[in-house]
Amino acid sequence: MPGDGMTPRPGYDPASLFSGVIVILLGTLLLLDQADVLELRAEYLLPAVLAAVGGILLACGLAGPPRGRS
Amino acid sequence: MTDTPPPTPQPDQPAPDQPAQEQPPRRLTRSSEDSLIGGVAGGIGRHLNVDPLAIRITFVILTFAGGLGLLAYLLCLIFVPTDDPSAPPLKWGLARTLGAGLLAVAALAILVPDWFWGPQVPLMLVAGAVVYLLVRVVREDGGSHAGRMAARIAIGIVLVALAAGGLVAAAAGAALGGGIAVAGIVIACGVGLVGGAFRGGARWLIVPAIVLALPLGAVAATDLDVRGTWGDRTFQPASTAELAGGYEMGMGSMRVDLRDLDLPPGRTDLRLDIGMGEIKVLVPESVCVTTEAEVGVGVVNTGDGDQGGVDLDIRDKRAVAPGVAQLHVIADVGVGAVLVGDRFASWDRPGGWHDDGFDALQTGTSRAACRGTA
Amino acid sequence: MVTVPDTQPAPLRRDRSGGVLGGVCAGLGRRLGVDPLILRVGFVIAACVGGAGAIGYAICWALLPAARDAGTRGTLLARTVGRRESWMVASGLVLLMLAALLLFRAWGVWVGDAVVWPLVLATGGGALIWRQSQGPAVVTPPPPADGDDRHAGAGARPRRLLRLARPSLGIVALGAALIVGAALVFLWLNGALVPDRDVTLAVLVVVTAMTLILAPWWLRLARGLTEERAERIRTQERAELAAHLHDSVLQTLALMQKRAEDPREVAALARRQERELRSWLNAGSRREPGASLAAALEAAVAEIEDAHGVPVELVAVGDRRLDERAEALVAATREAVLNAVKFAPEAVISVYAEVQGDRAEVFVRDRGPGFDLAAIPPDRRGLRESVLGRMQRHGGHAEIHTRPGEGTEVELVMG
Repeated sequence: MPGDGMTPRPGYDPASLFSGVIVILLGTLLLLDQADVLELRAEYLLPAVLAAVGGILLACGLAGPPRGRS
Repeated sequence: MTDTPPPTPQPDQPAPDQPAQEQPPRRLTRSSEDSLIGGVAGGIGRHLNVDPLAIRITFVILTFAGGLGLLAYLLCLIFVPTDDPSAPPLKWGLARTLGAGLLAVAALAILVPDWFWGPQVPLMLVAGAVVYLLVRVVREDGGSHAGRMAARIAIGIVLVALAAGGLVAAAAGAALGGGIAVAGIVIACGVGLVGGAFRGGARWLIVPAIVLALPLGAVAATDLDVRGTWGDRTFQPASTAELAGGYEMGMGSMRVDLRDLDLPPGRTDLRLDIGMGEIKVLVPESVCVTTEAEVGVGVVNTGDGDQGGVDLDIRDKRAVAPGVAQLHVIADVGVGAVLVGDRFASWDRPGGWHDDGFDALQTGTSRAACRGTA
Repeated sequence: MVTVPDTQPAPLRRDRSGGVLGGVCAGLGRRLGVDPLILRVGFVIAACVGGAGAIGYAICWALLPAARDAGTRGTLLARTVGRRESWMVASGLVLLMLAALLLFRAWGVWVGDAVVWPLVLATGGGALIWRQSQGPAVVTPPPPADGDDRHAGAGARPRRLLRLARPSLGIVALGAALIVGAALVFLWLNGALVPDRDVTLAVLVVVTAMTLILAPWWLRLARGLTEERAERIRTQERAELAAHLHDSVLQTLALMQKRAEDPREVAALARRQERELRSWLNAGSRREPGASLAAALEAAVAEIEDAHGVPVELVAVGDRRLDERAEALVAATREAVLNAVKFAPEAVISVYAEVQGDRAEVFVRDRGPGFDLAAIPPDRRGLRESVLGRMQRHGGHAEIHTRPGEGTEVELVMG
């Protein structure tokens, strides 16, 4: 809707996109740890998770409400 | 107000115009003026010509009687249309059908006492149905402000409960060795999010992704492995040969009672492993004990007081005179505690410790024992 | 101040007018729709941890261009981002900062738990309290009716009760609790909570905490006093203005009414008053003729006007200090104007002075009869001496442009 100020203009929903990327990254990190390729210690994992959640919140907050809903 | 088959709602038919002699059939509608949450009580009161307050009280009482009141209320919320002329007519879309279906299953589960999946599943179903309904109520702009506020709070609580359930499930799944699968699901959620971004957004996938990723992360950080025995075990080896292999458990509480042990001179290693829980090692008074403990999240106390935290790696070095019988405890705990000492608080269980004592551990004898001067 | 509804997201700029240092946080806050305070807190903490905050701030300062319209304040803007979304952005940022802190901790770039965590808590609590203490002045104006019913309609109803920007006891309490928590954590991590340790550390920490908590109100009090003084000064000035108007303008008007039969005198009175009022308004206070070039020009022109009753228009652009050369310029201008008065009394005489840096140019024009430069009557020889000669003697130059029937223009350049 024009006049929103931060309407997602492009043809995709930025919040979903960025959140998806962040989730994929996090999931891969965890997968590698579970498969014993990497070894994640708690002191690296906590910042990773916090950053992921923070990034998702940021992306959703910046993108505004989803398009097409009233 | 029982489980009568739901009346088929006629979505877009107002009261039909009939000849003047017959009264148009009065339909039950939810009131949009007199509504606390969804206008159910107001509508029923208006239909039956009863004070809505009485209806509300009835609902509340019935809720305490096995949840029937809540169930009835939810049924009305789904199936009774609102009288607000500006609201969209009752449509039987996928969401509504799903909600009704969930509710039906939940009702069955509550009313049938020994549902074989245990009490959690129907509870979660009810929770799901409640969430759905509350979301619908909140979305419609009818209802009072307080009602919407209450609905939001309720949604929040229910979501938290659901998430907690999901967390536990994911943690258990991960710790049981299904970590790779859980991680796979998380990645799948991410892919779904990315794909859904181009089709109008699929933000709801964020919730399951996070709900699964968090416990997985916790499990990964603590290297939690609860495969193995679950429960409380007490091990009382009588000879060094018995404890040579060490003891391993999945989850629970492990007690190693070494009071009957005669240690040979030199170092004897004792390996103890538990995924989640507590390891307590009771040693005889005048035995030299050194400890190596690794704890993902928890507490270690080898006689010098509690050391708690995350990613603990405690090595209790003591000067050991040569030739002294030394017990070297090597403990690995994912989430929990490692306690080594010669006294513990009494534990009121059959076969458990009967030492009345302090929680604090006596270290004097043990160090002296190590120095060989006990 | 903002009346145009945004149709585009605000560009990422520094907001120099709303910012504390370089406007980095203010500008970022405008773009993201969060309170720049949160960003400031983040930068401060990051700076304390490993200096990364200072570096990051410097990078942002260098990379972000300054905002072109520096009219709006960098406070919480609810018009580009809805209230709920700005909450999400704020918490997202906080989490990211926390994650960065923990990462630094894992990497070893860490001053120490005992320092950083209390600092984080104290900064957070202090920021909350500071925000709350700024009071209703910080509450955003309701978003302009830009056709978005979501904001204008529903937002006007009770939803607004939960706005963060309003001073609320709950948030103040939270801020105070954070600071107290910071103090406790500091003491605990430094082992000072054990009873047999030194008590002075605890007392010091408590005093610091109380200072942090109470500081904003103290500053507000001080600021209030300053504002009070400013208000007093304003009232004083207003009284002065009234007095001046009363003394000068009203008197002149009364005089003009008395001399209504003599149009020339009335015109002269009006002219004089106009000149005086104009200079008073421009200067803000009475300027002494000796202070600057423009003032000296004004005084000279006024003197001539008064002496000969002829209107002379003066426009002065720019100004410079009155030194010897400028005085010479003024004197030359005076002569030129006098000349114009003498030989073109019925015409409009205008003086245009332009000062740019050290270079001063004065143009004296009149639409009089003009004269033939070649055939200079003996009177005008004086003009040449008094004007041209004087200018040349002081390092400037002058030119006379004139033709019969086309008026005269004397151009004086100094500097």
